[in-house]
Parts: sequence; C-alpha cells; structure tokens
Amino acid sequence: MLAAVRFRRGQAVVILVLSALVTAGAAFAPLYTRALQQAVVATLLDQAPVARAGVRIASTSASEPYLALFPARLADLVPAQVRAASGPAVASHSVGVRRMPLDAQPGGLLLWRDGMCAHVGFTAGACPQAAGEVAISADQAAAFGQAVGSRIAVGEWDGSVAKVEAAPHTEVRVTGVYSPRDTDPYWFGDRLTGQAASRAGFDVMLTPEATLTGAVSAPGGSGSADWVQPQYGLDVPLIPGRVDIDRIAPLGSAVASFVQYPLGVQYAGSHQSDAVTVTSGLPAIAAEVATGRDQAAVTVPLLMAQLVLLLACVLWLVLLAAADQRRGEVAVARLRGRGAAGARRLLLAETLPALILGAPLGLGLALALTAVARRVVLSPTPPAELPAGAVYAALLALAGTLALALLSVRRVSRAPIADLLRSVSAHRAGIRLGLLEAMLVAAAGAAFAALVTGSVRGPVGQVAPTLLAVAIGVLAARLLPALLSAAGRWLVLRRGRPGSGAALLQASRRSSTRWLVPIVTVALCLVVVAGDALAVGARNRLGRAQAEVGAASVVTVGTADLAALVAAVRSVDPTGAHLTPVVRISPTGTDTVTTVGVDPAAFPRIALWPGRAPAAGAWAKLPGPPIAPLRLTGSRLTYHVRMTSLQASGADAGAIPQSLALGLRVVRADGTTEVLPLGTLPSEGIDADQHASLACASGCRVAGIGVLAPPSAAAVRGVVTLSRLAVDAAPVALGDASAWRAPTGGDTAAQGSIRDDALTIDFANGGRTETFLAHASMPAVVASLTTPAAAPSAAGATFGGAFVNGDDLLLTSAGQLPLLPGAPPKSAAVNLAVLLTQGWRGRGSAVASVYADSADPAVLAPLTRALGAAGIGIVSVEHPGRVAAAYGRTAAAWSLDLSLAVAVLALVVAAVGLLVLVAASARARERDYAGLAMAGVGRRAIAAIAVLEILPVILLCGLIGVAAGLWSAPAALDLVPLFPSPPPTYVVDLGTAWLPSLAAAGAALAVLLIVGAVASLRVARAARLSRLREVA
Amino acid sequence: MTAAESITTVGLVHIYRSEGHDVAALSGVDLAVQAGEVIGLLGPSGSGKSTLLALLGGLFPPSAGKILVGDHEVSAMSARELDTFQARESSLMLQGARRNLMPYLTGRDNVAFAQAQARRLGADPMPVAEVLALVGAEGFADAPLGDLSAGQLQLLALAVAMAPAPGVLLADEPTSALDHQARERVLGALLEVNARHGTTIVVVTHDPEVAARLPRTVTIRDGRIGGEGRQGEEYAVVTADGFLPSPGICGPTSRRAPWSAWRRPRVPTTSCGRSLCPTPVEAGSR
Repeated sequence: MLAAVRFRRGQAVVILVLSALVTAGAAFAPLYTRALQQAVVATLLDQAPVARAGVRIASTSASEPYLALFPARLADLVPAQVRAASGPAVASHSVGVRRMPLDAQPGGLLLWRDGMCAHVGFTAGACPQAAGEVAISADQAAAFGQAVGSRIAVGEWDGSVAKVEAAPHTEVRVTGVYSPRDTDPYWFGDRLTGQAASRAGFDVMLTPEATLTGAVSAPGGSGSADWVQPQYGLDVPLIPGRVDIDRIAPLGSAVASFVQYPLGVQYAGSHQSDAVTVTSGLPAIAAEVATGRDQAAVTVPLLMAQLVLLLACVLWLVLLAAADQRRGEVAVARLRGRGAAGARRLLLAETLPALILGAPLGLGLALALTAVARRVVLSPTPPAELPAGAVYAALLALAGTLALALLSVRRVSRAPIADLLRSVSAHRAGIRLGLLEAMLVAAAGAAFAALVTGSVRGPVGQVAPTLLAVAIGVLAARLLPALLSAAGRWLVLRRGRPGSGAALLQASRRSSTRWLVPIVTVALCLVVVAGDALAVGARNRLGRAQAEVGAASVVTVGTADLAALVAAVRSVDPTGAHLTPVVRISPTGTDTVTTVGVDPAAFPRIALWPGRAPAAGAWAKLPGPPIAPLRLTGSRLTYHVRMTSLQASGADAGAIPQSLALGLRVVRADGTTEVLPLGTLPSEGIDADQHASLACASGCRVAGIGVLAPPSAAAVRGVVTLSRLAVDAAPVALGDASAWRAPTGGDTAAQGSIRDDALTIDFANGGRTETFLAHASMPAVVASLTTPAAAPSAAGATFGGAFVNGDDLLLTSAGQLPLLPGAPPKSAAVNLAVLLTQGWRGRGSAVASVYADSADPAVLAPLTRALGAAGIGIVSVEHPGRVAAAYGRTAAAWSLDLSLAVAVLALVVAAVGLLVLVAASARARERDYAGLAMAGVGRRAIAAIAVLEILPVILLCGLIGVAAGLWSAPAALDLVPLFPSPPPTYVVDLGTAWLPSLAAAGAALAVLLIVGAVASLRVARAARLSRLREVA
Repeated sequence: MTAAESITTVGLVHIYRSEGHDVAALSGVDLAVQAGEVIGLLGPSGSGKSTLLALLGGLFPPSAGKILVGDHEVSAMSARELDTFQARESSLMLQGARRNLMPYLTGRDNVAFAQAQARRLGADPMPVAEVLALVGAEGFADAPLGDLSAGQLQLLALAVAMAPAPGVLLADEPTSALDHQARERVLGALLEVNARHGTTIVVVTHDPEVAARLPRTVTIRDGRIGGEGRQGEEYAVVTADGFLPSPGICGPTSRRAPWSAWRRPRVPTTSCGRSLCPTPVEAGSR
C-alpha cells in the first residue's frame, strides 16, 4: 500500500488536499457561523447604550407609596441569569421637587445614587455628605445664581401632589457644584443637566440618601412628614463579556419575562406589581441576535454548500481518474484471481489513507481559516471555539468522501478483465446521457426552475446556481466532444489547418475533456455568483445608507431656530450649490406623516437618490409662499379702528362680552409665534386712533389679524375696519384682498376686504376666543411630494402635516417620490420657505440638518464655522460610508463576505482539478505528441497543438459557467438576507452587478487558461520518443 | 504445485461487435492440448490467436462452444469459480511484460503479490525465491522495475505468471520486442518450467522461429485452426494459392509460407505434413 502511495505520491497529495478541502469546507460553515454569531452578540451588546443592554428596575407608586420597593428589595427580584451576566447594581433614590413656593417655580430632581460623587467632577465645593446637603450643576449655579453655601427651599412636586400646599418641603444647602460626565456608563444613560442651561428648570441635584429618607417639613409647616412619592431604582449593568450566543436567548427570554412580571406571574396585575417597572433592551437585542443567527444560517450554508459541492465534484473526478489510471493494475489483480472485491480493496488501499488523513487536516485548516476570519473579517474578535457541529460536519464530510471513494472504484473493479486491458477505457460515444447523468440533469434543472418560479426556498434553492452549472456542465461534457470533433474535422478538411484541427480532434477523444467541463463550468459559475453577491451586497448596503443618511454628509444641528440655520447655511453657500438646510418634523403617533422641509432647487441635487431619482419636473410642484410675507419692524404700532356694535349670533343670544380685543399674530425673528393684543374693541363699537407696543425691533412676520374674545363668551358677530396702520410712524401696506385669507374649518367665520388701504374684517366668532384672518403668505393647503407610504388615498385629498412648531399643516400631494433621502418611509416634502411663514421654533419633534454634497472638509469646515458663529451646535455629522460600514458589521454582511473566500477557493479547486486531469492524461498525450514528433512535426507546432487541445475547452466551459452564474445569481440572491431588517425606504436592488461579476469571471478565466496552457506546455515538452516504447 | 491440466476446445466461436458490425474472431475452433504439453499458437495479427488465449484464460466467455481445462468447463464457470480458477489453475501472461507487473513493486514483491490469493485459497505455491530461480530472475528480483531491461522484465512477468504454480500457463507473445538473446532466455525459461513442473503451456506467437522452438505448433488464421506441426517438421497455414486446409483435407503442396512477414523456416519441409491434416479422430480424442 505504501509502495503504491509512494509510486503516485503526487496523486496521493492531490487526494489528500482535496479531502482536506472538502472537510475544511464542511467544517468551516459551522465554525464561521458560530464565530459570526458570537461577533453579532458582542457587536450588539457593545454598541448598545448601557441602559439598553442592562436592566433598570424602578419602583414608585402615586396612589399607594408604601407599595414602592426599596432598592434592596428590588435587588432580590433580579433573575439569577441576569445577575450572572451583570456587574454590580447601582441603587438610586429620588424625589421630584420644585423651588418653594411651588407655583411657577423651576423644578428638578433630588437624587441619591450609590457612589455618585465619584462619577461627576466638582468645580466648586465638595460632595454632599449629610442630610439636607446638595450638589448642583454648574449650569444651575450660573442660571439661578446659586453657589456653594446657598440655601434652596424645595417642595415635592409631581403629578401626585394635587395641591401646592400639600407638598412636603425642606431646605437644602449647596455644598458643591458639579460638572457632569454624561458618557460615564455609571449614569445608565441619564442626563444630569440640560434643564438649567435654558432656564427651563433645575438640573439634577445630588444629595445623600439621608435627605430622602429623613423627615421633612409637613405641608403647611405642621410638623414633620415623609416624602410622598419617592422613586427607588436599581440599575443592573450588563457585562458583555459574560454573554455569548448560547446565553443571549435565555437571558433575553428571562428579561422579557421579568419586564412583564417583575414580581412573578403570580403577582401579575396586583397593585404591588404595578409599583415596579422593569425596562431593558435585552429582549430586543436577543431578537436581533436571533435574526442574525437565522440569516447566517441561510447565507453561510448557501455559499459553503456550493463550494463543497464543487470540491466533491472535483474529488469525485480525481478519484475516478485515479481508478481509471490503475486499470492495468486492477487487471493484473483480477488475473491473479482477486476478483472484484480484491480489486476494490487494492484501489481503496491507496486512496483511503489519503482521504482519511485529509479529514483531520481539513478540520485544522477550517480552524485556521476561522482564526483568520475572526481576526480579519469579524469585529470584535470572537473567541476561538470548536463547536460540536464542526466536528459532525467534518465527520459527515469524511463519510461523504469515503462514499465517493467507494463509488469511484465500483466501475473499474467490476469491469471485465478484457476491458481493463484496453489501453484506453471504453466509454460511451456520442451525446447520449447515462442514467445517472440524466437524473442529475433533470433534478438540477427542476430545482432551478422551481427556484426561478419561486416555488422553492431553503437548501435546494441555495445550491441552485451550482446545480444549474452542474446540469449544464454535464450536458456540455456530452456535447462538447462532438462539437470539438466536428470543428476539428472542419479545420482539417475544409480549412487546411491540420494543426488546429488535430488539437481539437485530440481534445474531443480524451476522457479528461469530459471531466474538465463540469469542473470549469461550476467553478466559473461560483466565481460569478460570489462576485455578484459581494458587489450586490456592498451596493445595497451603500444604497440603504444613502437613503437613510440622505446625502454625502448630513450635519444634524441642535438649534430650534430654523431661520437662523437657513441664514447660516446661506452665508456659506448662497446659491445652494453644495449645502442645503433640511428640517424634518415627525409628530408623535404611529400613523403620522413626517413633514420634510426642503429647498426644491438645491435638495434634489444634493440629496442622494439610490435606485432612481425622481423626475426633475416634480420639484417645480413645490411652490413657495404665494405672496411676500408682511414684515413689521419697530416698537410701536399705530392704527385707526372702527367697529360697529357687536351683535349676538347663534342660538345663545345673551351674555355678549363687554369687549373684544384686536389681535395681531406674529412670528418673531427667533421663530416664536405670539398673538399681540393691539387694543380693546368695546361691544358698543369704536371709531378711534389707537396704538400698541409691538416689540418687533428684530422684525416680525404677520401671520394673521383678528379679534380675541374672552373664554366662555357668547358667539358674536361684527365688522372691524383697520386703517392707517404704521409702525414707528412708517405706514404699513396691508396689500389687497387676496393678501388675507378667511379661517378654515370650525364654526368661526371672517371675511376680509380692502378698500383705500383699510382692512375690513366681517367676523362671526362662533363663541371661539380667536377669530383671525390669516395672511396669505402662508397658504391654507400646502403642496407636497409624498413617498408611496404617505400618498393620500385619493388624488387631491388633504392630509395632516406639521409646522416646525408643531402646529397643524394641511398638505396635499402634488406628486410622488420613490423615497425621501434621510426621511422616514411616510414622509412628505414641502418647500422650506413655506415652513418659515409660520413659527419655526421647534417643540422637540423637529430635527434640523444640513445636507452637503460631499464629505470634503473644504465644504464642511466653513459650514461648521458659520454654525458656530450663529450659536448653532452640531449634534452629529453622518456619512453614508459610515452607516454602510455599520451594516457591514452585521450577520448578513459577514455571511456574504464569505463569497470572496468561496470564489478564491472555487478557483483554486478548479485549477487543482485542471492540473490533475492534465496529469492523468499526460502519459497518453505525451505518447501522442511523441508520435507527432516522430512523424516530423516540429516542437513549436506540437506545443501549439498541446495548448490548443485544452484552451478552447476551458474557454468554452468557462463562458458556459459565466452565463450560468449570471443567469442564476439574481434568483439565488433573492434568498440571501442582505440586512438584519428590511430597509424602510430603500428598495433592495438585486440586479446583476455586471462589471464586478464579469471582472471576477475574466480574472478567473485568465487564471485557468494560464494554468491549462502552462500544464499543456509541460506535457508537450515531456513528449520524448521513449514514450512510444511504453506501449510495448 | 497444481497438477498439469489438459485443454480442449470444442466448436469455439467468438463474435464481437465493432463499429456496428459483427466480427467473428473465432469460427469453430477445435483444439486439444494434452496435460503437460507445450504448444504454440502461430498466426498473423488479427488471426484470433490472442482471442483464443483470452478465452482459455477466462477473460470473457465465448459466443458458442466449450472450453475445458482439465475437468473445468471454463465457459460455464461463475465469477467466483473463475476467480479461483485464475488464482490457482490457470495463469495468463499478457503481451507486454509491464502489463503483468505492479509498477510500484519489485519483482520479488510482484511474485508474492501474485501468490497471495492462491495462498488464501489454500494452495501451496512454491517459495518466491524458488519461482525466481526457476525463471532465472533471482539476480534482479529486488531492483526497481524501471531499472530492468525488457528481457529481465519478461522473465519477471513469467515468474509472476508461474507464481501460483498453475497447471496451465497461457503466454501471449512472451518474446515479442525482445532481442535474440533475451528471447532465448525467455523461451528457455518457459521450457524449463514445463520440464521441471510439467505445466501445460500455450504460447501465442506470430514468430515462426519461436514456434519452431516449441514441441508442437498449431496455426490459426481468420479465426480458424489451420494446421499443426511438430518440432522438426515444416508447416504452413495456407497453400501457395491461398487454400486454407480444413481438418482432414490436404490441399495443394506448399513449400513456403506465403506471408512475406514470415521468414523462411530453417527446418526441412515436407509437401504435406502429417499434422497439417489432423484427423477428426485426433482432434476429438484429446
């Protein structure tokens, strides 16, 4: 046995290598999948904010404070699985307070948190130690003039304290001023500051627990009392290193149950259970991990199964060639009475050791490849593991290779001795398929047809491209010899080119040609599919990132003043060539439409439109304000007003208010909206000059004018005429009648008319407090371009949008966009100028940003400076590349990255198979070429014949494989998840990536052609005359 | 050592299909070889002599007729019986020495390999060294095959064929492609094997000189037995006018074999040798 192995050590090495590759391919799939899953867990936990990855338990009760659980009791509730995966829990105790007296005073939170002083910096004073001491934020100290030593009287304030007088209160002394470290995970994502800077309230005041547990003054100063509604908390931070793929699912399940039933199922719905709230993002993270695991379970096998299939094909052909090569030896064994079984043992004795030895080597190779992938592809680097699945896969691969070996020797060992003694094995001539081949072709064809028609999913669909290539390869293997033969005869007989013709004729009769066809076909198909998968994956990741980010760079700003933002952007880029402001207003609610304010001239150019851009003409349908806004700048408004007596309207004829007020709705320069009372309108009528303070030194836009009635007043009607309007003695042109628009909806009515620059308002207020004519610079219904999800059900129908300040905006759809870059799926684009006619100071739901057409610092740096000069803070700067890279760190992308390895390995395997087949037919070819040499054919001509014998076969099969790959790739990719979750707006594009696919195919084909040519030239060089004597 | 076996074929016909046509390789061959006899089958290429040898060796069954080797009807054997028959009773030495040898084994190991199955079946073949000595191959039995000359390889092939000590040795062109000296050595070894062990030996050759060295020669052409001669007699397969004598019918006298490829035999000739016209009695009695 060893002698035989030594005699054909090259063949043994090839079988060993192929066996190792088959095992490696089979074992690598579970190894990589496992490492990938670990990386997904680590990535999700590392990227998640500490509060999302951890568990927060809070306990408070407005109605029954005694039901609230202390932190120590809360700690007892934590499930064991959570405790095992977590670091030290942080207990907290807090009470909501306001400065005394409580009414209209700034408020904040008195907070104790275990170890809190180590997690802030002190700019003055020191950590409070005793009851009644507090540390306040530097912002609070500055905004409210508080300092170390200051005393603040605070009373409990939250929703449960119905009356101001009922609040327990105390006086605290400031002992320190802190600066926060918000990024410190200790704070569990809580922000200590932010209120005081805008004077909206106090920041969090840190205090020892004794302040919160000790007695405070009772309401009304009658003795002592306890805080009414203390809030207890326990934050349990997760330690990501303690959670792996095996633990995340049970942990997520345990936390989900804990969130639902904090005290256990038996207490569900009880008052005590209601007093405890558990929040955690772990169940969601576990679900994301499960999604990633499911995706990897699709893609990794999809790619590896095809490679293993190719490897198995090559190994099968090599084993067949090896058995065929030993036909003479089998004949000798059979002649000496060994029979078919003995012949089989003789053949297997040489191949089985190499196959068996290849299995552990393959497992080692798979481990090595996984180690490389862990370090190069996956991030963070997952731990090295050997899951049982990999061992089972290796054993399965070994069993498969052994089965192949048994099958491969079957024909030769059973062949009649007379057949074995032929110098060339008898094989079927012509293009008729054998039974096995016909079954294979039929099965593969059926599987692919089912895939294309969408009636098959799962494993069969996953290997469909390779099955298709195998089927085509088997058919081609039958057709090609006949084709080559015909072409060879034609060249010899018709074209007088004996050299080329002889080469093709030689190729047509070699069994190695038949074997080479499926190898090259499948390999090229795999290379093309893998190249396409990589390119399509990258393209879609970038496309989705572009759709979600919106532009090459998107600078999100923290300002609420949209006009200031627009001005800052215009100061840098007056024409909007590279920069454009965008505001996104997303009212709360599940089914609301996000209003996106854009500059119709610049936005289509600067925003990125992955997939397809909307028609250029669409943007012309977003008009600006119909007329110029009416601006007032000054401090004193004078006017003449005339009103007849008020009359009651409607059924309620009594209780006519004694007076109404004339009101002017303005939008100030800072974007705030305000109704300015201009003067009184007595119910009996008025005809007088009046004046009012305007306070519009920075300019105001007039949004509307009308009458104000006291609450609960009866419905009245009247006619008011305003004339001789002037601001700081400068006359104000009120425009014509079209400049004023009647109110829409409700039971109010007003009609405006202009004569001689006098505005007459004929109104009926329907009992409402405000009855205003709106200035027509703000249209009643605003045209928008809607995304498909936001499109109204009927053409011309109106739907609700919002101004920046949250006021309702009535929209109508003037056209559709495939998507709005950087906006949610249900969005409507409106002209930004329209939004600026109304209050543009946001109420929290508006997000302002600047879209830039590049990430070039030369574009962004001036913008940054301009925003800084305008006092506008930058919240974040986002680029599609960064987001795409984040999508690249998901299970879906990591699975797809395997395509590269698959393509390279497929090429290597094909090259090895090609070399083996050339080597297997080398002796016969050398004899043929020696014969040609003896007949006087020159060395160069022989070399040309040798090369011509193999190159057309590789080229034709390669092209067939490329075609099969290009044809089947989109269908196969349809099964491959490209993202952890479906893109909300971006439409996944599975179209063939022609350039990368063809480039990969071209490179692979070139490699195989070079390998084939070099190997053939070596065979031609070895064709010595001595080869002819070997026949004897 | 298996006892020598006689060989008898009766009405042996073998037809094979080639390029869509039926070709008769053998057309009713009746042949009798006594146990312990050395016989040469002489004929040109395509005459059917190798086919006859392959049939005798059980490589494939005949289309019709019977083959008897001793008491065994080869043509009616099952595959298992045939394996046993080939392992112990009959040994076929293929044309081309290398085709009889495992290329990765030495001569000694090849002989041992050839004996292995016979031993498993309970035979007691000669020791390897004795087999090698029998054919005169002991001097190069341990050398790699690639280092050996054609004659040495042929002797090793003979040793391998004799390794299981068969009762019948069927040798297909054992001296082809050998120089004179090597041919003499191989022929000498064959005759030595017969002399010492009484092995029945059938030698296929196209060389009349080789045939002339054998005690009995049967000529064959176009799948038919033509005639037969004994050592020291002149023989011919066909007469000068192309007549093929049938058993019992003497044709026109021929003093020279008509095939140009054949060299003139050195032995004296007769107008019609006795065995050119074997009687049916002779053929059937063996």
